[in-house]
Amino acid sequence: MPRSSFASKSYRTPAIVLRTHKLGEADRIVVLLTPSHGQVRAVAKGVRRTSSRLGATLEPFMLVDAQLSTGRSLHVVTQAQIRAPYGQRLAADYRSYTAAHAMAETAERLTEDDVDAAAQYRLLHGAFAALARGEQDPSLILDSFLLRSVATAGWTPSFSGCVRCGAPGPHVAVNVPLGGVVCAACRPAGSLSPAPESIDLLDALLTGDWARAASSEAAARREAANIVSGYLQWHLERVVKSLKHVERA
Amino acid sequence: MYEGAVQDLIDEFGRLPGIGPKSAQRIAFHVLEADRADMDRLADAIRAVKDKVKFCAVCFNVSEQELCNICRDPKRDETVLCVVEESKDVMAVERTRSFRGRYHVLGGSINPIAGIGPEQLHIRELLNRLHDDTIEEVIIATDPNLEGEATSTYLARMLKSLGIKITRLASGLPVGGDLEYADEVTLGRAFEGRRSAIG
Repeated sequence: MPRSSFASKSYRTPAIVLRTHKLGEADRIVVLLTPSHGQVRAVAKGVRRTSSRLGATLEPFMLVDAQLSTGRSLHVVTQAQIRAPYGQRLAADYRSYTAAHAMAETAERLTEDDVDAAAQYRLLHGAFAALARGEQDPSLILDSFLLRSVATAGWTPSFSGCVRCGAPGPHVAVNVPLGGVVCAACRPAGSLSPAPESIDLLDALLTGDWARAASSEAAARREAANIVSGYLQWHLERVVKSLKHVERA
Repeated sequence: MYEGAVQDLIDEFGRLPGIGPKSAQRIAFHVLEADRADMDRLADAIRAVKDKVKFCAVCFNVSEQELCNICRDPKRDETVLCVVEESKDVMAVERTRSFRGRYHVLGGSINPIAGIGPEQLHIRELLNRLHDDTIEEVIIATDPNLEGEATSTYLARMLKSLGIKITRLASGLPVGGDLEYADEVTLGRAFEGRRSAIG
């Protein structure tokens, strides 16, 4: 039996709301990150009305089960149910809120339409869940997410072995364009010389060693955050707007 | 593509919020076919709004004078200040006829992904207004969405040390709806903000 045209156009997917834009009188365009369809831009009709049932569900950072139908340029959200209301919890803590914005903007830049994005989806889901639990410093979760997100996109940095010759560390110099630490012999001009504690923290953030990361000092966190931000923006070749609004301890 | 002036008009209408290319074309042809006097009145109204209207020096509401009507009105309650995102929110609250205090318009909400942080809003001016002892309560009436909630969280944290009563508008079920159609977040908020039914 042939499927109806609605059924052939309609699909269901888990999704994370990355951002929203106002559209017309009461609609919104929602940018979703899905595991198997990549980034999806969809119209959510009437959601800005206070009587809308979908309004709260399609807020940024919410993890939802969405029913979408494909359109010519934009998809249309026909139904959505909340799986985890991360947005609500993140808005209640300003530092987590600003960190979540930087994560969402990075995920938006590193994913595309109609391309498998399961790894980026899992990473972002895990990061939002960690922020919502509030067990770690939001800045550490953000920097760990940014490093791993860039690594998932194919630009894995190294903070243990020299990125040029592979000589085992520890090394004292970091070169952002090369993607990590460099030994004394390979060190190009313009390399940074951060404190050894900062390099150790970067390695802990990349490998997910939270015990080591949580024991770091404020100065090391600041220095590591600058290197992570530089590394991210070097590969994206553009400024991540939300990063300058991130409130750090 | 149309020639010269018609295409220019379509392009200009197309830049307005909520107007797509087809609507822009429809409005442009309406302008062409309409009475000249009507369109002159429209052009004058647009010119006048740009020439005369500015922002109130105190609350940042739209005004044709240095101070807006509400800031000039001596009958308004000076001890209560309602903080809203946009000028149109002032009108929404005024329509309720249940608030007689004054306003402060922030000019938006904190939305880092759109490049809007606290520095881009009128938060410093709000803090300056609160430094004298006139204001006893600040009602945060930002939109009940994520950006509005985060702005409220930020403001509450900033104002906590001033010793002023800080309140946030209640959120919950819309009047006239069915409970079964309420979404999980709204219904959850309604439960959190429940109040005694007696007295």
